[in-house]
Amino acid sequence: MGMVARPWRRESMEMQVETFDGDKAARVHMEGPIDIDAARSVWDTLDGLAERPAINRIVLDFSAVTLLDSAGIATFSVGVNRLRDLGIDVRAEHLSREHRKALDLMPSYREGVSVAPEVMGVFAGVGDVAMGLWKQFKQFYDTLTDAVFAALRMFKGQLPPKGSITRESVKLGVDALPIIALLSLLLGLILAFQSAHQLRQFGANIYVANLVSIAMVREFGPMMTGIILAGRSGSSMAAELSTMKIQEEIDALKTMGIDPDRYLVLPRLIGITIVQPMLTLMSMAIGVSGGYIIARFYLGLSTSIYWNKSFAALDMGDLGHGLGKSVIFAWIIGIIACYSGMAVRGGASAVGRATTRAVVAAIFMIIVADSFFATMVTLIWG
Amino acid sequence: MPVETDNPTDGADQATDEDARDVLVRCENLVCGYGDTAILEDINCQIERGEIVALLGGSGSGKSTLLKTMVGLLPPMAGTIEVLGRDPYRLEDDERSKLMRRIGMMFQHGALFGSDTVYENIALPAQEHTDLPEPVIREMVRQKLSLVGLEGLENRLPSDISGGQQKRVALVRASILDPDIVFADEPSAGLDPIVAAGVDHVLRQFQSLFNMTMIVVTHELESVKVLADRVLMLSDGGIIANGTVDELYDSEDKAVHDFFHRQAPDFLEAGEGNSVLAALERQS
Repeated sequence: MGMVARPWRRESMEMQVETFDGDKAARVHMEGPIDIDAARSVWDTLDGLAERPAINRIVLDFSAVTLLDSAGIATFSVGVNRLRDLGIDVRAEHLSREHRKALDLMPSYREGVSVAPEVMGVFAGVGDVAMGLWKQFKQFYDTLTDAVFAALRMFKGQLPPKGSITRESVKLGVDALPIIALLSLLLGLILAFQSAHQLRQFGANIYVANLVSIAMVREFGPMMTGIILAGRSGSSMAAELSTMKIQEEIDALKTMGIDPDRYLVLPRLIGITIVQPMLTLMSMAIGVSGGYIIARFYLGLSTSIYWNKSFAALDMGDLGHGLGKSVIFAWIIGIIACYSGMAVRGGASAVGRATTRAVVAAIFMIIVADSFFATMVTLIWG
Repeated sequence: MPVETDNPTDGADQATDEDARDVLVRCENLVCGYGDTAILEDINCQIERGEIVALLGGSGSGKSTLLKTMVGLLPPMAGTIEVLGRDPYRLEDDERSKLMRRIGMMFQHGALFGSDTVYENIALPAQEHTDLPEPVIREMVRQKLSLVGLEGLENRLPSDISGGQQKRVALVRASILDPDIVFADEPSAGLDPIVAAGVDHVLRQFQSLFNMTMIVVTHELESVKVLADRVLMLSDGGIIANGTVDELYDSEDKAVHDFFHRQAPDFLEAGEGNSVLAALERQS
């Protein structure tokens, strides 16, 4: 008996409803445990009685109830309230001392407790999104300006910690070298192979060299490197900084009087600004080499012709275009990753969100910036 | 051990040192909180040099919020705060950095840099704020680690040492520059009673050795008894008591009395006439 005395061998609950007083009243006799398994049938019984318009009085007979758990109590709490709202008089009879104790412990039914998430109206929703975006923009702007000021303060002698730029450069760039090399080689191969098939029809095999070299140097080298670094190094930057943020390590730096922008953001930004053009240059060279493999072994071009045509197709402007873009991409990746990491709030799931946001936003912005470059260069220089 | 510290401050702070000789932290009509939500209102208090003051209160009473505001991490919504005679939120970066090097903060979970060794964690403030040669910094770290019984762990990563050891490393890091004030957020939380007592002992020892002022956030009564010269008790969005442990122990204020006498709130009480039983027995 009682709320917690649940027997090992489960007995089932039986209910009997008998009407009296000319079918105007009903007695509900319950036998056995009213627990989480039986609560539904109690609910259905009370519901059934509520639908009988003749009934205006219900007596709940607890004399044979062996157990009353929290589901049972909640069912009576809500059910009795509903019946009374319908004008039905409800009484409980033969409650044991244990049942009375349990029922006395639980607060009575209260309306207005909503667990559904608050649904906003259209205007409130739009406003909420706009305010959220504005807040994010302000945070991003703060990160950007803090980074710029931290960079400017270098001229006042406030340098990043010793060795930090080298460490970050190695971590962000050197470790990404094999994957960028492999993908650039494959990209050069694909470009050459796809174009060779078309060009051969016109006897223009020789132009494979031009196509691959211009495409790799102006577009694919910078973009491929940017996207890989955004996915690989941008995510690691965001994850590292956001973890430091939620573990209060950044607060610890502030309380030591150490500027987190100088200590954490600047080395990463400088590191990626150094390595990205280098990796891009490597990607260009390896991509063009990939084209050479197809030109030499599939199209039968000689080595000297391929390389001569490749170099002849390019000028310093192409190289500057590609490398200039790579620096912009580096800043995009670095700033977005640092912003995502430093602006994080919450627990472990926030680290995941920050990382995803850093990668997606950086890749998106790289492509937007690349389109902008392509359009501007074409419009200005033709 | 008398310690004459070559305090790493310069003339910029000397004018204010006169004013701040006795009162190191001063809060006037301070309102602090997060976003638009005020957690604490109308906070007025002073903390004097050499004291260990416990900020005491139940969970959610705003202890850590006040500490963060005092330490310069959470700008107040209104009111005035002065630490060592200066408002940390109204200083230029350089001045703020000078002020911050004169305080130390021991975070609740240590906040040790996970990818740095114990030595690198502790040495960082000294490397950043002084031009001491590395061997001297190494000796400072070794000596302070030996004071907390952790000598020899210099090359371990924080993840390779226990929670109690991490707390002691955090204290050593907070005190490596012999700051005027050390703020400690729940220094013995989550530790077993023996290790917690050890951390309390180390805090007391550091205070007396280096004549530090300490502001310790805690809800551990045992720690308060051992550590605190004075207690500021927070509840209901403000300071409800300010006095010694003995004074607060004998307080007639219900909230203070209940806290010090471990009077549990009766959660298991639906309220008279407000239970399911009352509803069942109520006449329709």
